[in-house]
Amino acid sequence: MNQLKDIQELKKQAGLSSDFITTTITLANQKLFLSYYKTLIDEKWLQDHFIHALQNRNTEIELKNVEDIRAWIPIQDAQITSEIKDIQFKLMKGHAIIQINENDRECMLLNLASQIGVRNDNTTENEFSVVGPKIGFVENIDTNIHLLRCQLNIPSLIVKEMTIGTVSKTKVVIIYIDGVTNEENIRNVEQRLSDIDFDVLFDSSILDQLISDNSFTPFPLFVSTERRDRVAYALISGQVAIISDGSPYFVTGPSTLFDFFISPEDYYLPWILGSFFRLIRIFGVIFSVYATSIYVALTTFHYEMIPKDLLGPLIFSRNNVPFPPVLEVLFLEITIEFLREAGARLPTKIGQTLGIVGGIVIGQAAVEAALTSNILIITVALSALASFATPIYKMSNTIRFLRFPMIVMAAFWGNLGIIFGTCFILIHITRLKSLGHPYTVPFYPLRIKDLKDSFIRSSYELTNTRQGYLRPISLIRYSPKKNKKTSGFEEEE
Amino acid sequence: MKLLKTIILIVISCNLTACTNQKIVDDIKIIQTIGYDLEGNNVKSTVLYPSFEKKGETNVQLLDTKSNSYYDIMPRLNTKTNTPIEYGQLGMVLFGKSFSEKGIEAVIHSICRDAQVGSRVQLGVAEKEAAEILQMSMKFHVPYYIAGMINQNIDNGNLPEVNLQTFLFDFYGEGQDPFLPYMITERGKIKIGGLVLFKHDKYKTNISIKKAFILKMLIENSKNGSYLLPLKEPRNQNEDYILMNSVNSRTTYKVNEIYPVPSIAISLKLEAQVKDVPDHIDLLREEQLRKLEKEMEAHFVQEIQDFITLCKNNMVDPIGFGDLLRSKSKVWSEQSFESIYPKLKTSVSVHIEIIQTGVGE
Amino acid sequence: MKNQKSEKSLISPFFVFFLIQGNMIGVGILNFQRSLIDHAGYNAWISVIVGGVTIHIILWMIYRMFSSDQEILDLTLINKLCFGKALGLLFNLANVLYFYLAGFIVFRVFIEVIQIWMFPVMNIYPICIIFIVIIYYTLAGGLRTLAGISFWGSILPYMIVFPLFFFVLKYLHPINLLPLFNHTFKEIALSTKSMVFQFLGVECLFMVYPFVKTPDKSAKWGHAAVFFVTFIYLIITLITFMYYTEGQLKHIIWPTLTMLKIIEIPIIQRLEYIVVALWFLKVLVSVSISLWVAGRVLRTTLHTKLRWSLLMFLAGFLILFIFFNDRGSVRRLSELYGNIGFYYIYLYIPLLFLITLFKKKRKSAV
Repeated sequence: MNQLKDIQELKKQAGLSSDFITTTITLANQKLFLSYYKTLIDEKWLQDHFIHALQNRNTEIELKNVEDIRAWIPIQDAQITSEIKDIQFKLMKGHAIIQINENDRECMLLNLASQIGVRNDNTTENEFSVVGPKIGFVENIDTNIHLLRCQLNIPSLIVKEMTIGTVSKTKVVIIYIDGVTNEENIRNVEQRLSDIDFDVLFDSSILDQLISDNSFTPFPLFVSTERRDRVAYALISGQVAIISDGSPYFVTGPSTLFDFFISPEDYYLPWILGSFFRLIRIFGVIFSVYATSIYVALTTFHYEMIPKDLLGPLIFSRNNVPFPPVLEVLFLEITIEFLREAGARLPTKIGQTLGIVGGIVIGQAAVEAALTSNILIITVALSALASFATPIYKMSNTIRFLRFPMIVMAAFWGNLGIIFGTCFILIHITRLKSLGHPYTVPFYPLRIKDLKDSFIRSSYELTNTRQGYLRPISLIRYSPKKNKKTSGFEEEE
Repeated sequence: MKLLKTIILIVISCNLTACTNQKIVDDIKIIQTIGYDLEGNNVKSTVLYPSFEKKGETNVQLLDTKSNSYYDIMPRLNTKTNTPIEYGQLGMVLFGKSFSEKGIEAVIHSICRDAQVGSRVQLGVAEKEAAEILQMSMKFHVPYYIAGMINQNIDNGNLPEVNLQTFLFDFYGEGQDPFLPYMITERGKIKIGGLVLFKHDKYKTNISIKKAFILKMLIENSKNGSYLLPLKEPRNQNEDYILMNSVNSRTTYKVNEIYPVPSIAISLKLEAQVKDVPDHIDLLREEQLRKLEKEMEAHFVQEIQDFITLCKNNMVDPIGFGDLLRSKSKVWSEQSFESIYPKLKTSVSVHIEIIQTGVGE
Repeated sequence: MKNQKSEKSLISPFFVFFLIQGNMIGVGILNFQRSLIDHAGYNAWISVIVGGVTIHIILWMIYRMFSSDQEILDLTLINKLCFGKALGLLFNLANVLYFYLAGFIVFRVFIEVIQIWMFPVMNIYPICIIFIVIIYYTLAGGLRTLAGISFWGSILPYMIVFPLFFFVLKYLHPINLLPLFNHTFKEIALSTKSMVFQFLGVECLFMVYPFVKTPDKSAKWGHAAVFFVTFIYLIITLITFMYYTEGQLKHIIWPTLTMLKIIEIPIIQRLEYIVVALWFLKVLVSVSISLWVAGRVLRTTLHTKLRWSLLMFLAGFLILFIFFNDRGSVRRLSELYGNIGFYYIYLYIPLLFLITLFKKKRKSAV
């Protein structure tokens, strides 16, 4: 894309599009040249407020330069410039160009950007929680920042703006809390964002991949969330949040592996329950990754390990299956992936029908046709279920993906293969970094103090400090209330 | 990333060559019981394996083969089946009486060295032929029927804890002799007839299931097991027994003297439950209860002494007196113990406490 | 203490614990009991304690050497300082060979365990290659990854394996341990000698030390590692001795694994199949650390690139594997290594210690 020289050239190029309008407004004794993309601006507003205001003015004063229009119209966001880059950028963001003479280099840019296409409904769509607020983000960056500021009412919430994308010129903001977030993290993010060379930024999740430390990994290195409470929590604990315009997803980082298994709900429930559900979720992940590969290992190599009472049912269920266990498992796992993928692409109502068709009809038929054993159907269904317990969708994708190499490894070396696979994953996650911070904290490097909010969530009396690995500038979040234990033995007199 | 690609390539190519040694669970015959018998100079081995054809129905199949050596039975059996035979889930090895009289060391040694065989395998000796018992167990359509019987009687009955590990422990250990369950037949049914006492690897004698309870009390804390006690002064013919269940027992051994003739004091504490007593005994009355306890104590002292004499006469040491003496003396040898064993002095004291007497009167 | 290493590659003193015990506990814990009872019989558990105590002294010597002289940064410099340039180079190369051998022995014995316990008839080469690839992948991440994997590779197996021994408690016969002292000191000393093979690995500290953030503070973690290893070995020894009679133990080649066969929990039985697989993690740590140390020594003496020397080492594994493909040769090799290790620990390290002490005295006298 070659750089345009001046406003005339810009208008010429833009004029090729049919939605680019160039009109003249005739006032009492003078003409104003107005050009804009009718698809980008709010035309009704233009008509009602701008042209109406101009025409009602009805004075004889001659407009010498564009500066004079400012006094006439009730619009704050009006800028006068002759900088062609600026003009082009603003024009594409829904500003109108006003000139007094057609060939003027100087013009006024009037913000008439329309909000058409932005949804008003901002309940969370994908990250649902039963308890707690349901406020999510929408596709408009200003709304999103507004939402965030409503929760974090401090001036130290700093919003830094950048433009990324050679074509899309998308507004990207970095948000952090001054005096909490470590400056190294902020610098890191800024540095990485400014290094990006990309054409169209469709979503924040592209940003997430562009700034990640290692692109050769199935693991997401940043949490991306549409929940306001989650972003606010990340900010208050000293992380940096990034969002691009047009995306309802905030990207927060640096993240650790365990951040992906935390649901905001953990903090709304009593800590014992919160911890319990978090453990369940982590167990779900382990189960989901290993269940089917263990089935393959046991039935292919280690029949000795099957308890004596289970041997009969297992052999019976596999009796007429003509395939080796690994094919049987892959067949079912891929079926489940088909169902999930189809369900995600179809409209909600059809998706439900599909779930029933897939789950009941195919499952039942596969067992009756002796293509799979019913013990396996239960295992596969459970492990699919368990993978959906992960609160962050990206992570649950990763977990579902990890199952496949595990199954293949188990098919070749049984238990040993599973351990080989585990080794690869362990070494991999030990080597991973998110914004330069190790991915597996607080386990490796071990930070005992951070363990109290990792696989369990301790009570608020204990979690008054921020996570140490983020190296926040101030460590203390709040002073915990002193827990007065009233002993039942010593009754009050 | 070039490196990672090579790694992935290596992994995949390794995978392709590794596709061997599979033992898919439904494509093998999983042997769960083996029986060894002696037929002339040949070893006859019988194996049982389950087949699961129809839902909820298990069939147990039998295969047998004869060979002049114990070692080649697996290849011989393999010639008789369409899928390979695997014995990793072995649950029971049964020896015929004649086989066990000749010595079972070769089999034991091979089982002990085999990584595939678990330690919870049950061993047993059949009254006559192992094949006969195996044949009989087939009609129950339950895999691991005989092993299940033994385990059940260990948990709830009079058998002391016994399995491959305890057998090997006694067998290879100095100063104790192993024992195994004794399987007999009774009107076409299989029954545990007590225990067989071994001298090294050879059948020596067998004891009844009642005597097995005495042994159980002597070597472990018996939390179960029942014993029918005869009363000394029966009032009428039918009511001269009481049934007692062991709830808890503890035996302590004290070595009073090692040289020249060892003397060991055995004291047994037993907490028992007495359920059925003749009408004339009222357990709610303290002195009657004490009297009964005294009577039971006297009975057990006699029984234990009888049992030890039996062991001495047969030169077997299932209780592990030798091991006990070994642990107390710095110089000990199996030979010198064996020469002194018949002269071993034992004194027995029994303390019984009846703690439960059932719900009714 | 000055460190030229950049902050990024340093590890915190706490991980010295995982590195040392990771290198010490390898595959030997699965079968050390047999050679242990050869001399002292069931009194040999005393040898475990004696061995542990001597290793504590050796570790103290190593730390003493480092703290005595500011110039001493790693083993290669100690060798140079003690034996001069030419002889020092020779000693350094011998050290490379020593650590390499240590890695290979653990690798080879574990492959043997797999062959015996899991896949008796499977083609073993693919497993070797995967093993080597995983080692390479670990080492490619540097010492920090090595420390990380020694953390995971210790925590996960210990968390799963050690609780299993509670299931064995029912079958223990404490009376086996009696009488307490019926062997001579000489016999116990001989058993201690055979036990030293299990404690080899503590010497990896020689090369890890310069990578520790505050190295002087790592002493307590180093000693904690030795204590932990001694404790674990003692527990396993006692449990084994109570579980098997002496005669039975002579018939069992892998007592620790055989012991696990007795465990039966409702969802799974025959846990030795899991433990063998799980122990791969432990073995991976042990082999990787040995190789890393060998590579470091080679790098500081000959300035070879770590990556290429490691690739050579790993290729060497495969070649050596072809030569040592039967039980007998493996046993002979590990006996040889055990002997060398014995002299390494009890002769070489004290010698270095005395020479550095002597030189320091003379230096301060001047």
